[in-house]
Amino acid sequence: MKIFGGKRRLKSNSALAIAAGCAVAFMFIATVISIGIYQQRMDEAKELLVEAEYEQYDSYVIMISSNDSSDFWQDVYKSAKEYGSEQGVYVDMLSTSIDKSYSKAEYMEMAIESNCDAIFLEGDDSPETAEMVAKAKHADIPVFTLESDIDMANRVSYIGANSYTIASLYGESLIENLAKQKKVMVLAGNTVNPTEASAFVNNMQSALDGRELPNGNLDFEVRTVESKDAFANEEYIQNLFKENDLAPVVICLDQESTESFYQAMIDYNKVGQIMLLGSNVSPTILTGIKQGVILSTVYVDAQSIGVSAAEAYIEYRDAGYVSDYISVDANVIDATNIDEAMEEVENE
Amino acid sequence: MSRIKRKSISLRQKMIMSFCIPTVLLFLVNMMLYLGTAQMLNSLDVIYASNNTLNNLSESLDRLQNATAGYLNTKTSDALEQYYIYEEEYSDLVDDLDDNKDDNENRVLERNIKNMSENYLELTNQAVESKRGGNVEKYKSIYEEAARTYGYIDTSITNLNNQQFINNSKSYGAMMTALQTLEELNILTLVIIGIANLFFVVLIASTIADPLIKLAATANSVSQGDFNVELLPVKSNDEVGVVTKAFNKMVVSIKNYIEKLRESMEVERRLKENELIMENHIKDAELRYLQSQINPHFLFNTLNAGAQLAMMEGADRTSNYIQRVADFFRYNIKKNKDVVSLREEIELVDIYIYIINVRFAGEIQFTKEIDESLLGVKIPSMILQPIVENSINYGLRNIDWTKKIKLSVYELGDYICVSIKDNGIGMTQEKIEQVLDGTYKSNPAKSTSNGVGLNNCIERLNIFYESEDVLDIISEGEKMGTETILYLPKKDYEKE
Repeated sequence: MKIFGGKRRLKSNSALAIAAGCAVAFMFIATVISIGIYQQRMDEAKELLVEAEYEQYDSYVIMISSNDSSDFWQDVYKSAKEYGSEQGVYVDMLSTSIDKSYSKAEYMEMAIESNCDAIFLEGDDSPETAEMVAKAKHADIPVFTLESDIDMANRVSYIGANSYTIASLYGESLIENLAKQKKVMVLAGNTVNPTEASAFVNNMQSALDGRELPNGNLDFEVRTVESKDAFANEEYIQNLFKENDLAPVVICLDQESTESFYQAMIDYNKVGQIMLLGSNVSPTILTGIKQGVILSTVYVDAQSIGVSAAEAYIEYRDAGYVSDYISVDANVIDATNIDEAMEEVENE
Repeated sequence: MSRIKRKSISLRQKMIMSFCIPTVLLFLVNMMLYLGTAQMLNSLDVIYASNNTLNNLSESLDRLQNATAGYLNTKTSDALEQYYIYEEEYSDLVDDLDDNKDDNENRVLERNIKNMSENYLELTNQAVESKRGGNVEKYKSIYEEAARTYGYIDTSITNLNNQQFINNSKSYGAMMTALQTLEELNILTLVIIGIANLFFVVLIASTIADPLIKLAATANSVSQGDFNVELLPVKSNDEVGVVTKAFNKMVVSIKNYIEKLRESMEVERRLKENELIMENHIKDAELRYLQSQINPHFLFNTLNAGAQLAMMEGADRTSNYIQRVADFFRYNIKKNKDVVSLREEIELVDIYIYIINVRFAGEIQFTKEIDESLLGVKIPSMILQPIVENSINYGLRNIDWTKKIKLSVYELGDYICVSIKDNGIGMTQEKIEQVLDGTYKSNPAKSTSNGVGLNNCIERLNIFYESEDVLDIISEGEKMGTETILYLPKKDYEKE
């Protein structure tokens, strides 16, 4: 072993034994470490498979809205879910766990077939919805309507803002900024039914009744989008601008219409010519207000609706009854409080 | 492993070790990889078991829906039978689903699938019953509802399946990572073991080859006759060690053998040399003797006739004299008798002195002081007489005082001393040394000896006793006489 010099020569047998010992020891250690690391990794992998010990819920409630993905309904859903989970209520929005897009009525039917304990429903006046509500009632599933109401007979409770209060807030905002405008277009997207729109106009008129307006009473014109097709609202608004079928004051009754109309005003260079009042809150709408394109927006606090709905269900479940109308506050955001509103959104 | 055990690793064990250890190591590493892969494959079944269950559920649902539609279409008993088979199959699968209340999206979906499936089973049952009952309106509306529910269930199963597939894929990914880690570790282990192995084999090969190479080199030196090679150190007790030991032993014993051989040859050579010299001197003595004799037998016969004649004439002294002369010469021609006793030598001296005294009218006073017990010692023949003759010829011949010779035999330490002392002219120290060295040359013309010189006596004594100091000559100077002393070793002699 010349490479090791003289000393090593003397003990070649010892070196051999040491080398053999080292090789075996190394192998043993390497094997143990390898197996250890491998087992650890495999355990980690298997842990992913093991069903966690989940919290148990008492009641299963399904929430169905016309547009589950909107910020508003997501806020409602999250707050209801959060509040409910503390009280043993699992609030589910079927569209979050099912990719296929179904109609409200179909979701209703799924909810009923799934034997849920209650349904939170954004009301509308369609016969399909009514049919399913009736079916739910038949299956002893209580239905709570949120934001929009249905026939009182089949639902347990309605949670939402008072429509007169909402109309009053629009009226106040309008009066403060009204110059000589007389024509007011009330634009209801396809999620708002014509009846609601008409009721809104009535409430506006009531709210403005007796108030002095610069150019006398306002002329309200209700425009509703009847088509339920995709992008129907956006196309309708584009057509209004293309045909210049507009009014100096426009009130949009839903978030989607507000955002579309706001963008169209910029695209068609109508900023300053049209006074736009919107509904609900979204980053786009807040930006519009900040830029002065949108005069103001009226919104119902989504979190209040969610929490109130969950509370209403729990009360109904525990006591067997609950008030048939639970009011939620509506608020206005305009140039005066836009900064605070934006800050709040940012903080969220 | 104790040190002793380690020392006794044999070549065979080393080679077996160098083969077995890597083999075992490789086997272990491969087994690890194999077991890891096997475990991984087993786990794969577990990972995707939930997907399999859902796939089975989905397929069963399809079959049930088709069977229901099939029966409602044809109303045949075969179709009804099919319906019942699939209805039971699906019912069993639905029963296996967990009616849980877990706060988890997938678990809720599973629960919904179970509930919807139970309702769906009820609806299909109602539809089939209505069809059998002939209630056309009812079975149609129920079937439509069942078909919608089928759609909901199908969608839910698909979504749950997808969701679980995503979750399971995470597990799969983690397992693949684990396997990959194992693979990497194994490759690393194999590489290191490979290197260690190489090192190991080189080590073993060296422990086998190095001593052999040295052994071969030493063997070459030895074969070229260099027996003074350094003995090889024995480092191990393996076969090479055994060969090395044997080789060392062989070198040592060859060396010893050669040494002994050399010594014995030396001794033999010396012996032979001595023998030759001795033979040479005897021959020389004999030659001189023969030269001095014309014909000994003739001389004996003549002397005997003279002796008988003298006796018949009544001349007893003459008869005696002639008899003694005959004895003297007889002694001298005992050719084959090289070694004689001291007694015989002294007898010869007696005869010689008698003859000389007759010749010279009894002028030499010969005295003896002899320890009789020492007379058996063996000495070469014809030693004393020539010395006495020398004393008479060179020491006593021309002196004008009374001629005396004294012969003494006595013990002195380990020696038997034979002393012949005269009161003649004596010798110088230089002459003594020359005589003892054998370098003294006497004048041959002057010589009156019967032929055997002192020089011859000294050499024979030296050869016989293998010593240089057998004979010594002492003379205290001019006219102080000469003493010749023989120191005969006593070692082989036992007193009589």
